[in-house]
Amino acid sequence: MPGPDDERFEQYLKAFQPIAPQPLPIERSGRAMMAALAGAAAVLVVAAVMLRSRPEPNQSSQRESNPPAVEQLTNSQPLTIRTANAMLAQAPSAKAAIDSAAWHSQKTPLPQGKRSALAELSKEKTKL
Amino acid sequence: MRLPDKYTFEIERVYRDHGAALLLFAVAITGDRGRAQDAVHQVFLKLLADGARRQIVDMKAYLFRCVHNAVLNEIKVWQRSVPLEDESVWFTPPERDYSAELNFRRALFVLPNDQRKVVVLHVWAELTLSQMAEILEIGANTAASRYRYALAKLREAMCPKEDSCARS
Repeated sequence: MPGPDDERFEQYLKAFQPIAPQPLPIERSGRAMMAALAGAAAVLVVAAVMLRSRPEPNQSSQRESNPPAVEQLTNSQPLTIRTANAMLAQAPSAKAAIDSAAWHSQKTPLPQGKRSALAELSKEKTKL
Repeated sequence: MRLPDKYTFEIERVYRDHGAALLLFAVAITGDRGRAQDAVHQVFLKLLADGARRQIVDMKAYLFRCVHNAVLNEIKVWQRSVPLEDESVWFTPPERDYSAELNFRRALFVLPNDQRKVVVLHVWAELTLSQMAEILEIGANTAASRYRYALAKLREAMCPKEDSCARS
């Protein structure tokens, strides 16, 4: 019979937990496979419903989410480094500012003779 | 291989309950985690293939005996002893102290094979002396004395200062 010291030492050894083995490589029976597939399908359906219920990022919602100052910039001025800086400074988040710039560049044509700074910069060959 | 669900689930439950200790037992004999894992899988797949035909009274002791036999058969095939792999951990140590895990593993590994088996079977598989005796085909008194010697050696290796392990 182990004494009290042995029992304490056994407890100390038991604190080292053996590593769990890898799962058994078995093929599921038909019913078990159907249950697993049904579970996976349910997860997919829930994910699809959640995706559909999210509001789409359209123009009107974008306008609502941005402050008026940012909206004014996006509607009236061409996108320059200065306006981009202003957007960054005034937007509630960096993501909102980037989104504003993206919408802006799609819908506001530049006046004749003016060129976008970003378009010019994108033409440059930069070495990284 | 199509299997009856209830039986499969029961075997999976047994695997979840005892798989870690069975794997440790096999690793303690072979020193090689991959081969030990193969031996444990081999036993369970055989059990599943046999179905519920076999009436097993003491499932836990039966599994340890099967793994013991499977590993010994494999060792005969390998015809060599495998050195301890330092990078392959056997345990999740308390407080994630992996240096303690390595020390413990080394202490366990330097034990004679027979003593190491008895320690694993008693401490982690929580088998009784008579169950261990049956699995290893030795007398209960032999199992008890091997366990006593092994515990003393482990304590000496891991707790050189008196009572240092008990305090931790």
